[in-house]
Amino acid sequence: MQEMRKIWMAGQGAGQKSVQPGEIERALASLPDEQRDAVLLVMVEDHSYPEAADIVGCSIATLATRLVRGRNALLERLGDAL
Amino acid sequence: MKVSAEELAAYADGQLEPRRQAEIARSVAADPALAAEVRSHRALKAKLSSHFAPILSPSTPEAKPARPGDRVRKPATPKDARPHRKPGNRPLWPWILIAAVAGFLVALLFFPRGEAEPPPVGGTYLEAPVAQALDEQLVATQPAEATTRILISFRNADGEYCRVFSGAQEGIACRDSQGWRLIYPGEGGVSGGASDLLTRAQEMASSPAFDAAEEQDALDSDWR
Repeated sequence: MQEMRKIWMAGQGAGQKSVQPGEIERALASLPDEQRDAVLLVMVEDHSYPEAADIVGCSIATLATRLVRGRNALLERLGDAL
Repeated sequence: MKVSAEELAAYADGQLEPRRQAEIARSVAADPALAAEVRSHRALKAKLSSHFAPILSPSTPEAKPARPGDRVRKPATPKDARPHRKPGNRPLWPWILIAAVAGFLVALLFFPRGEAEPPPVGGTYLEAPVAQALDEQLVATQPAEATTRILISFRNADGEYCRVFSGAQEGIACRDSQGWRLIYPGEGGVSGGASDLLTRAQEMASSPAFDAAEEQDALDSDWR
């Protein structure tokens, strides 16, 4: 069983790894509130950009900028595991 | 053609107006770097969606007793049926995130990874509608109102396709020539919630969980 876990962790490739339980929560928690709002509304709750912008009370352009910054930060932390 | 980071992300989400969506699609098709970025954006969205699916799934909390490792669930409603929130209102997700983090910490307390027992060998075969969901649903595209939700898919050490699912019944099943064989929990058993299932899945898996493209390929091959 330990061997299996090592295989999962190693991701069968250089630089690859799997997302560990809690890693996503920690990555989200590291984001500024505004970026986390945007990421979760669009990428988890599946709201459209106009809906998400309406909910947080900003323009669609601002929402898009927050969203890109948030997802880039998440990709930096989780990218190899995706 | 210049494509901004915001536009590329919106393209990946399918949020642009059709003409601009088509223009960027041509750019993406011609530029491997842009295509890789789009894949990353979509993989991240699929990962987040599947990760929080147990929390947003339409299960009824009162139907099952609380267990260590369970996350707090809220009833999911179709997007267009959700009550409209006014600008300035705080969204619900911070409470979801707090509940998820709390659930994870509880899971760590009750199910330390180093002491997890191996999943039982063998199992019974699942029937419809769960087996049908395992055959047909993809993590990235499954409907929010689905009775059975797929959390992740992977291959086990024997090369079989396996899937973690939640809903009225939850567990891990692997596909063999006879159908979807329930691996965990054993017949009549109860899992310790999503964190428990993911821990078990990691122990069983011979590779990382599938991304959306790999899952589609597996479905196209009828999970064999």
